[in-house]
Amino acid sequence: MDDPADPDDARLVAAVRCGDAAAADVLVRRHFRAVWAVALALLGNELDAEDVCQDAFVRALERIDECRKPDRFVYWLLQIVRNRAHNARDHRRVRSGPSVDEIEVALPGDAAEATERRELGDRLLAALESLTPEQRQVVLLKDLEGWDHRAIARSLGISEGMSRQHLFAARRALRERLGPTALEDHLRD
Amino acid sequence: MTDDSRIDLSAVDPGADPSRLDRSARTIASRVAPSLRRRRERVPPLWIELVEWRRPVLAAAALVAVASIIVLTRPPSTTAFMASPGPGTLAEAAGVPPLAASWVESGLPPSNEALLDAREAP
Repeated sequence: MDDPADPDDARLVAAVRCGDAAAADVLVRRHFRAVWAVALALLGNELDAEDVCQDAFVRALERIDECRKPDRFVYWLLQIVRNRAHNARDHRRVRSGPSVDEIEVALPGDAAEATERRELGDRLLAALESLTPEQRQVVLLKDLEGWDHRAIARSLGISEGMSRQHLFAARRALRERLGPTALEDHLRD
Repeated sequence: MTDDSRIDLSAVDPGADPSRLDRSARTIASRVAPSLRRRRERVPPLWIELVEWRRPVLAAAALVAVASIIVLTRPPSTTAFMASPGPGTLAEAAGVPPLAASWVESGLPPSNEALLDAREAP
């Protein structure tokens, strides 16, 4: 997904305005990862990111009439995510981190694979903490969600050149903290 | 591996576990269900149909408008106008029957015989 702005979103937004639950579900599944990426980038832990994800989707779907450019729904949605994440931080509702039990519920696969994945996930989250919020958003939207720099820049309100600089710095910092071995091992999975 | 190559972030990818995404989607759906229900009750079915059909209707309306503009802006054909047999008098042009038109043209009231003839006329 290079450009997340989908013309089909306009049709779905129109349907949601008429109360179509199926259209709302499509929008949620289509944009969940991008919303998750931004929430995780701003909050730093998965449970808070998930809470903010759900809150942001609920708010967006309930106030869908306020979306003035339905074909660019995702950019409007991500702004809501940022506002919710900032509010969550301001109100000190952010937890210190997920408990082991809570993480296990969310992990796929057998126990050994889940443990390995959890360890890598924890290290990745710790490494992401060393980045600036902008760097985290850029690297997550680019490497997790596959957005291009034009879309990332539009979403963050920065230039494409700045988006490239953030990505370069973020990748270098993550490799320094994680080491190339961990990432290469995981890539082979 | 260089700093320009992509980093594998799948360890924090919520999509890696479909059941997790399903749980979130279901939670969101249940939370927005009352709002969507209110919208369905508020919107008449005709409005939904119009929303669904707005694109083809707009396209058809645009075609009709273009065709109308072409017809209305085209200069009238002089020969066709001259060849067509037009009405002889103003009363005939207004659609008054020929017999009654002659009374109008003469400016005199019709006689009793003329009225009876007009009544028997087809």
